[in-house]
Amino acid sequence: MINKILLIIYQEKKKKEENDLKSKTIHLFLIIFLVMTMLNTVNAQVKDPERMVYATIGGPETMDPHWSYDTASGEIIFAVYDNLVAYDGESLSEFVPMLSTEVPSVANGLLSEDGLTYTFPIRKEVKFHNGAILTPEDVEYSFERGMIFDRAGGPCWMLLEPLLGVGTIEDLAISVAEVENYTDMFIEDQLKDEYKDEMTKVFTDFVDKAVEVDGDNVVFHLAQPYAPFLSILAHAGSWSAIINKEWSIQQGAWDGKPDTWWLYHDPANEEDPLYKITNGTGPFKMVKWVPEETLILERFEDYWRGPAKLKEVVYQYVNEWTTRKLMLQRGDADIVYVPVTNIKEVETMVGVEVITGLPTLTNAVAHMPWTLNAEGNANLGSGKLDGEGIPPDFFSDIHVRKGFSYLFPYNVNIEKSMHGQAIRNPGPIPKGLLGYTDDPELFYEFDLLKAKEEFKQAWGGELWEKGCKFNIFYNEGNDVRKTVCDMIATYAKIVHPKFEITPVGVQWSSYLKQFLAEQLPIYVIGWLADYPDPHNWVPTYLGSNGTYSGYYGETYREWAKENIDPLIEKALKSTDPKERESIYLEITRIAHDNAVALYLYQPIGHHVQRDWVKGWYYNAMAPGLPAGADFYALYKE
Amino acid sequence: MLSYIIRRLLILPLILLGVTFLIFCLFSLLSPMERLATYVNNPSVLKNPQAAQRLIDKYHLDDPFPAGYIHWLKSLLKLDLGWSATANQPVWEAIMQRLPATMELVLYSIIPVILVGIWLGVISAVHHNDLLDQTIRVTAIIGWSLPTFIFGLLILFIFYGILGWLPPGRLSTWAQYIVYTSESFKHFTHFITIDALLNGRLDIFWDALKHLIAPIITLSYISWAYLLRITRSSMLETLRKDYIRTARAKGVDEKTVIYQHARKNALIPVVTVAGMMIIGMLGGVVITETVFTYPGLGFWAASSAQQLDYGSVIGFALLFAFIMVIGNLIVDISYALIDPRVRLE
Repeated sequence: MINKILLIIYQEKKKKEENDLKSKTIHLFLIIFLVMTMLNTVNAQVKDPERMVYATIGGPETMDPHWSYDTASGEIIFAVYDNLVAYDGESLSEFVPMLSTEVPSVANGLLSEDGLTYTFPIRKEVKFHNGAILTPEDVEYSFERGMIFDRAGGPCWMLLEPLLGVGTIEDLAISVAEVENYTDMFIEDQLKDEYKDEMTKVFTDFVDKAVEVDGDNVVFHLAQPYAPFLSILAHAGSWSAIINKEWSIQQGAWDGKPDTWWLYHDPANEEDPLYKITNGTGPFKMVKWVPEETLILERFEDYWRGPAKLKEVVYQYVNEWTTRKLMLQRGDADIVYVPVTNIKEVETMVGVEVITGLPTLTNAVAHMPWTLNAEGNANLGSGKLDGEGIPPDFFSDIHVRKGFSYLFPYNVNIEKSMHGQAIRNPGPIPKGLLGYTDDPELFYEFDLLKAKEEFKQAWGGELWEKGCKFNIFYNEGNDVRKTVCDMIATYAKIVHPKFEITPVGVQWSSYLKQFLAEQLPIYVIGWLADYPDPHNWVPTYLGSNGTYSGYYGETYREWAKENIDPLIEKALKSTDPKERESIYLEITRIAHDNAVALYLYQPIGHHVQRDWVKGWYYNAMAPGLPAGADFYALYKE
Repeated sequence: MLSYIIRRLLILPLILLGVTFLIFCLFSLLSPMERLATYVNNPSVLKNPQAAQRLIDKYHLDDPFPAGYIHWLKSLLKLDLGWSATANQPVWEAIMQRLPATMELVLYSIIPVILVGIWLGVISAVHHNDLLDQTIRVTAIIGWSLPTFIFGLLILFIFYGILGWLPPGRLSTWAQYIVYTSESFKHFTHFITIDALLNGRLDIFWDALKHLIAPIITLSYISWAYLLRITRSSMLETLRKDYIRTARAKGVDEKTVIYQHARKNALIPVVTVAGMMIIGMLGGVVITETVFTYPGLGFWAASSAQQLDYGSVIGFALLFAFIMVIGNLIVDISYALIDPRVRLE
C-alpha cells in the first residue's frame, strides 16, 4: 500500500517535472520568438537616415567621363558631374537647363534655323568640388578633350559625328594628312615630323572651331543638322559631363594645346590620369573607391542646386544574390539589384517596395547574315545545300528568313525565359521612342504552318527536299539567349525533320570574333541605348555600316545602301518630328517585309528598394536605372 | 640540416620557372584576337583593325612563343602582371590590395583548425569508440562532406539573415567610411582588426571581428574536421605502440602517457598535413569569400574567372603557385626539424 502511495507520489512528481520542463521549453521558445520579433522590429526602422546603401553587382571601369561607356561607371559619374542640360524628370524628349542657363531652341534664338549652331549661356557661380568656379573655357575644354581623347570602342563618336561629321578622330586625321592608315604617321608611337602640321590642323581647323567660347556662352557648330544632338548633350554619366580644365591639366590630362593632342588620344585605361579621380560640379563627391568592394560618395555642400538630402551614398559590390537579398531583408541595403529570375523572392518581403513594368531602352535580336564568310567556317557544315550543311548565302533567300521569323514562339519565350518581364518590338526601334509602332501587321507571329510554306518555297524547293544542317549561336552564360537558340532548333526540327540545327554557346570573346568575321549563321545579341532617339537603333541594326548589320555580308550591305541608308540620312537631317516618325515607320515596314532579323524582346525593368526610400523616379536614360537611382532626389523617411 | 635547406632553396627558382612556363602555355592556347578580346568590352574596338593591332602590339599578343614568354617573364620580374579588367587596376596592385584581407582571414582560421582539430582528434582517440568519440566523428564527417558553399550559405542565413549577428563583407558601412576615408585612421598592417586596436578604435575592432567570424567558421570547418581525423588515426596508431604499453606498465599516469609520450609522436604526420592544409585554405577562400562578399583575393579570383579576366586569373594562379611552393618548402623544413630521419635521408 505504502509502495503504491509512493509510486503515485513519484509519478505525480515526475509529471510535474515533465510539465516544468515543457513549461521551460515553451518559455525558451517564447524568449527566442520575442528576440526574433525584436530583431524583425529593428528591420522596420529606418537605418542610417542620411546614408543610402545600394547593393549591386560589378563595379565601375573608370571615373573619366570620356572613357566611360558602361553603366556602372556612368551611374557614379552621373552623381559626381553635371551636363549642360538634362532630361526633365521622367521625360525622354523634354530638357531642363543645368550648367547652361537655357535649353537652346529656335524659339529662344539659341538654336539657328538651319540646326547647325547651338548656343549655351553658361551658369555663373557654379563650384567644382575642389572649389574652382565653372567657366565657359571648362565647357569648351570638356568637349574638345572628348573629341581628341576618342578611345577605341569608347563613347566619343557621339560628339564627333554631329560636330565633325566623322566616326573617329583618326578618320579625320587620315583625310587631313592624306594617308592610308592613322598609324602610318607614327614611328614607335612618335609622330613623324612631316605630319606635325597636318595633325595640328586637325585641331585648329576642325576640333577648335566646333566648340567655341563667345563671352559667357559656349557655341557648338555642327557639321550637319543632327536631330538627337540635345539628347547626346543631356546623357549623364559620360561623354557630355563638364570637367575642370585647370585641374585636369594638373592631373596630367591633355594640356589644351593644338600640337600635342595626339599624345592624349586613345590611352589605355591605366594611362588615363582621370580614371580613378574625380572633380565635378555634381551633388556628390567621390571620397573612396575600393574596386570590387565599395564606392563612397559624400554630399557636396556647395552644390549649385542646393545640397542633397543624403549625406552619403555607399555602393556595395555584392555579386552573390543570397547575400544581397539578406542585406535587403535586414535593411542593411536600401536599394538592391535583383535579377529578373529572383524578383518573386522579394515581392512578398515585408518593408520592401518592388516597382515593376518599367520600360527599358534595350532589346535583343536574332541576326541572320545574308552572306557568310565561308573561309574556314565550320558552322556551315558541308557549305552546300545537300542536307549536310548550308551555302554561305543561305539567308539571302527571303523565304528562309521569313520561315525562321514564323517559327519562333515570341510570346512563349517572354513568358517562360523572361518571366513575362519583356514586350515585343516589331522592328529595331524599342517602345518609348519616336517611330515605334504596335501595328499588329508588323509583328511576325508564331505559326508553324506559315513557316512550312515559306521553307517549301525557299531555294526553289531544294531546301525542303534536301534539308539543312548548321550551328546557331549565343554567348555562353546567357540563359535567355540559350533558350532562344534551343527554341529555334526545336521548332525547326518540328517543321521539318531534315532541319538539323545545333545551338552552340561560345565565350564572349570568341563570339565577337566570329560575328565580326561574318561566320555565324544565326546569333543573338542586343543593343542598349546611348541616347533615346531611333537614330541610335536603326543604323545599328539595319544600316549598311551598322554595328551589327554592317556584318551581314556584301549582299546585305548593297541592299541596305539602296533601301535603308538614304532613309536613315533623311531622318537624321530632318528637324520635323512628324516627318522623322513617318520615315522610321517606313524603315520598320521595310525591315518587316524583308524579314531582316528576328526582333525578340525588349525587357521591362524593375526597381527594388526598402519602403523608407522616398523620391525615386524613373528615366530610362539615367545611368544605372531602373535598378539604381538618381541619388540627388532620394531621401529616407 | 643547413645543406638540406640550401638544396631545397636552390631548386625553388626552377620550380617557379616551371610554374610560370605552364601558366604561359595555357595562356598561349588562345589566339591573339581572343586574348585581345579579354582586354576590351565593346565590339567596336575589334571593328577597328588599327586599334586592335595597337593593342595586340602593346600587350605583345602575337609574338612567337619564346619571345612572348621571355617578354612576359621580364614583365613578371618587374612585378608588371598586366591590367586587371575586373578590378580596374594593375594586377599587382589588385593583389597587394586584397592580400591583407585574405591573410587576415586565413591566419585567424588557422587558430580553430590547429586547436580544435588536434584537440578533438586526441580526445576522440583517447575515448575510442565511446559516445564522445562517435559524436566527434559524426561532426567531422558532416564537416568533411558538407560543401563549403552550402555550409557558408547556411551560416550566413542563420547568423545574418535570422539573427543579424554576423554580417557579410569586411566592415559595416559606417566603419568603412571611417577606415577608408578618415585621415586619422592609420593603416599600420592593413589587418583591420589589428589596425583598429592600434588606432584605439574598439568599435571598429568589434565590427571587423563580427564580419570575420562567419567566414572563419566556414573556412576552418572542413580543415579542422579533416585534421581531426588525421590526428585521431595517428593517435590511435601511436597508442598501440610498444613504448606506450611499456610506459603504462611502468605506472606512468595516463595524462603523461597521452600528452607527453603519445601526442608528441602522433603529431609528426599531422604537422605535414596541417602545413599543406593551411596552404590549401587559400584555395578555400575563393568560395568562402564569394559567399560572404569578403573582399579578398578569393572574391577577386572568382569574379575574374567569371569575366574571363585572364590577367587577373594568371596573377592569382601565379601567386597561389608561389605560396604553394614556398609553403611546401617550409613544411619540408619543419618536418625535417621534427623528424631527424628526414634529414638523414
